[in-house]
Amino acid sequence: MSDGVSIYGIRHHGPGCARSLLKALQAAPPECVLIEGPAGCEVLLAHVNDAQLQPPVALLSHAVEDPQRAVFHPFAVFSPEWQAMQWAVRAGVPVRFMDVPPSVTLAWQRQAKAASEDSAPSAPTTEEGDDVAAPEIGDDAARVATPDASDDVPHDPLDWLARAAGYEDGESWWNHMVEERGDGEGLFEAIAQAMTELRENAQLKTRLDAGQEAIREAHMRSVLRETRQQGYQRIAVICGAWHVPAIAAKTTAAADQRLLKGLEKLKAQTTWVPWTYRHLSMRSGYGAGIASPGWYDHLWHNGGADIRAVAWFARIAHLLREHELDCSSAHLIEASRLADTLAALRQRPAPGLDELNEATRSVICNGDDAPMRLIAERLMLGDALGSVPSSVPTVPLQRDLEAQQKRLRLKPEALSRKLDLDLRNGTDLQRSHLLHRLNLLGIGWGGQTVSGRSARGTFHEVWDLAWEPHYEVELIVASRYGHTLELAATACAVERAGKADRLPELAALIDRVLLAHLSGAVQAVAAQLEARAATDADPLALLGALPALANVYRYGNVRKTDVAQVAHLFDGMLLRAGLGLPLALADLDGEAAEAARTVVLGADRAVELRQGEAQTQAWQRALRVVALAEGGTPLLRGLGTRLLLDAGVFSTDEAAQQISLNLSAGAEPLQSAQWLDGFLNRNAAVLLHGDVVWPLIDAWICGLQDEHFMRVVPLVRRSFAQFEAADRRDLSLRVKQPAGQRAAAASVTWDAARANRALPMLRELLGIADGR
Amino acid sequence: MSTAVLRQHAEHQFAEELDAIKKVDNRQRPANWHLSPWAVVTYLMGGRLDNGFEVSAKYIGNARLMEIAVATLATDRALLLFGVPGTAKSWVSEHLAAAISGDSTLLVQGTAGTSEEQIRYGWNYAQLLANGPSEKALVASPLMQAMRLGKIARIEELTRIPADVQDSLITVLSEKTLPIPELGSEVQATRGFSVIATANNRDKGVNELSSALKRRFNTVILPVPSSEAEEISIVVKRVAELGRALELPAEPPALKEVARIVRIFRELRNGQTEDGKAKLKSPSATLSTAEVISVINNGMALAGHFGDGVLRPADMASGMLGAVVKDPVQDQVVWNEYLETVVKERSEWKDLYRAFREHA
Repeated sequence: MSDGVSIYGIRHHGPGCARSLLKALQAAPPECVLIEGPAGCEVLLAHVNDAQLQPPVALLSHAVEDPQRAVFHPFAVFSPEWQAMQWAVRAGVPVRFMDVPPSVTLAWQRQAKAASEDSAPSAPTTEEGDDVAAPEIGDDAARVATPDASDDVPHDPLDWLARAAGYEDGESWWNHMVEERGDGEGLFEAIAQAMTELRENAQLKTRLDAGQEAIREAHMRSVLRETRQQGYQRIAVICGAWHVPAIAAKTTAAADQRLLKGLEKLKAQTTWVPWTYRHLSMRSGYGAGIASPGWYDHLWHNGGADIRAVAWFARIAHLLREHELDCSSAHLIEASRLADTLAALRQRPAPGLDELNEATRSVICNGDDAPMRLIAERLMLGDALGSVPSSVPTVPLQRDLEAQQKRLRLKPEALSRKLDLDLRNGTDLQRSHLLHRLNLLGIGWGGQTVSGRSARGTFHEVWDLAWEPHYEVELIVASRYGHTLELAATACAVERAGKADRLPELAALIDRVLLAHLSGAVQAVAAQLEARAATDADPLALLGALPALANVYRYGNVRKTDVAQVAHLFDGMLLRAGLGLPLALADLDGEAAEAARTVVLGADRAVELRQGEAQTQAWQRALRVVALAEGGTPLLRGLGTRLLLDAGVFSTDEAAQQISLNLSAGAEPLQSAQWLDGFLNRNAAVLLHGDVVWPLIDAWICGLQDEHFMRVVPLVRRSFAQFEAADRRDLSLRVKQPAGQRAAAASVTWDAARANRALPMLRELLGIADGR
Repeated sequence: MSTAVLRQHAEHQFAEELDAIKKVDNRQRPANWHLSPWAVVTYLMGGRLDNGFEVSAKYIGNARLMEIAVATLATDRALLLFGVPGTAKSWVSEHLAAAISGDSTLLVQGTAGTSEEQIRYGWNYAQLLANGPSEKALVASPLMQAMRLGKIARIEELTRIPADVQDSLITVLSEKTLPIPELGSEVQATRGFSVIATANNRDKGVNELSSALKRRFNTVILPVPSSEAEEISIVVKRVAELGRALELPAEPPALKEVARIVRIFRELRNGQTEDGKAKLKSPSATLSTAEVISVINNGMALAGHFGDGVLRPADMASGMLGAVVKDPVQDQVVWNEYLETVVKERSEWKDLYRAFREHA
């Protein structure tokens, strides 16, 4: 438009656009700046030059009645909009947001949800990704209708231009033409022309939200119209490149008003929240995401193409040395040479991120992927976390917590107090969920003092509650995970599961998410656990994770958790552990064998809790192989025999054969003693009260020759020394009884009438009411 | 060129293509290169030239890798092609040398017995005894030849060469010179000289490169085929060629059978099922595409000579087991786990499961 209005079509979060835009604003300062952002949120601009408002940050708008519905408008330091805002606030130029207000986008979101509700309820973690009003990139890639890959029509309109220029995709073309270039003269005219051409001629996917698109553009036009009516002459409009032709289009005010009339609205509230580069990336599911925020950050801070590559390599060198990986200056020199040659071979004026990455992999990492992953994670993605001043309004997560605290009558008090929850009671169960969720988010309002199971049965939890002021801040930080406690805790648990690298850690985590009643997270953590279980080569680690799962399975019902999935997981892990167990238990020495004994015993109890026939059989099959393995660890073979004898898998005869085989004269005495130690299993009960084992051991001891007996005595003594003193006394009593007498004693008849006479006095002594 | 030769050098076999590319190639060439870097990439990846000539693809896979390889040589750095056996390392190295220098024969085969003389230079002892050390008595290695002529030298299986012998390359690669102390002289490399070495990922343990030497190479890792379809097409093509060459009596296998075998190899190699739903353990074997081809060939031979001429699961079971289970203890567990948790669950794979089970 000629009459003092300049329309700057940008790509959201494009550093090259930001630089050119800033230059343009300085060259021709406007009287008013219009930015494609949520209308009505201009009040929050007051914070923009606050030193405590550090990007990346996001404008978060949420529905007042339903904090689950929310939209984000993230800004990084290299976002053109952010730079424009800062420039305007510094220069004292008024800024207006020209996109539709959040109340409208929230209503659209509700409509979309309602429409898709019955078809496929989306997982809570993706919730923040589908922010309908996210400022789209110049090309709006994320908002096309249904992605079907087979189609030849590109998702991204820029792909047309990229194809014409011989690039693989629109992303790398745009990077190269706009973001990685210096300050392009006439950049914005060129963008406007290209977009006009695309919108008129290119074949595009039909958009699901074409109607909404039209409404948004009508809104932008009418804001522009209003601004001019207010008497501003020179106006700068900053919007996604895609919208430039639409804003410049000649449309009557009446036509736009017709489109904007009668829109459904939800009451909305907006505030600043801290954001991260991770959430800015496409990987997080954010529609207008960019592939490498860290790279854009680098582009923003290192303008010149000449030093940009070298500075990038220098950062890589620094990172690698921090992690004790070799990287010399000579590496950097060779890497820069290769990157330059690659750029020349591909006919590009300067190496882009692709060339830099390839040179890094080839020269510095020797083709290795592991350091590249580190670079991708730490440099290309970046770990920047923004901050917001404490003066900004509250976030929905805080509101959600407040609402729940009110509903469950749990007041945050600094003074510590005890809370005893009876999980059979609905309110108490919800309180327990609330506290467990907060704990998952790292907000330790409640500490569980007594594990309910051991103290007062499975249905009690005792908590210590103490509210600390810094929890408020942590809530704001945690709000990037989600807008309600449930969503936030789920996302947090999922992220943690991705990072956990040990099986027991994951098993403990699944326990925690079940306690917190996060069905969405259970799925994700279970999937992680399953994947880890499949690749973890150590069957003992698998067995070690079983008790936690068995507990969940057994006691899950009290908490109304879904145990079928846990059972499936348990079974899979047991199967894998069983296959590898004999190998894992062969040839362990003293300490390792002791550790394995603990694990096997724990797993045995876990299998018992599982109470599944197939599982018990699989476990017993594995134990049988362990018990009968030649050359296995004697301690564990003895243990296996004992467990099978107790389970009734081994008959007395079989056990007797094993006992005499393993304790026979031909066996190494030390091994015999270890076997016996495993077999007795630190538990005298089987000797005292069972009639099976005693005669076997008895017969073995009696059958020993003198010389052999002398060699074995000290070792056997060691095993028996582990019994309780009382058990040892009873054992010695039993030894003194002649064989056969015990059986007779058990069948002695007794006089009921005489016994009854003692009962009233016993009742009195024990304090039991008479008659009961 | 005589047709009785069993296998021709790349520069002879594809002489016509090289000529055709040279005719249209008017871009800048590094000194002593026969083609421009752009043309070398075209030769490797195939494509249609401006004059309509069709260049066949030598390497099936990612063009960017070939661009990195060519750019490396253009910066006169040495190139190290890394990869598991059967990923076309030597093939790429031969074609690169043929396209850049027009000569792929300056080759040192690395073995445990490769000596320093084979890398630097040896002596003609008759001459040496008669006339003492002289230029005439010197026997140049392919590497020295390449330095003199400004061509590409190839070293195959670099990591199999003993470490002390490997280190004699360091001076050549960093100073581009090969001293001859006996004559008090040296050979300085002409422009255009470079080295392409190949090495095996799995051989790392044999003689891993010293970091000094590693630093002088740019490394390009040649991956196993990225998609199932790509791998199947490579296997089908090679199996048909080999079957013809060896005159196997069996029918070429049905695509379905090849697809199943390829899938088993891919799943075990990648450590997860093709649908990405379940993770698996990987055995210690390399499981390269070349091994898929050999399992199928083996099965075809069995089916042709001892069966009914049609490739059936039972014909492949023993070859399969041999390819997967290299370590009789650990790999057996992996294989059993795979059979029980994956093969058994696929209803249309019942025959495979039975055949493997009987063989296990």
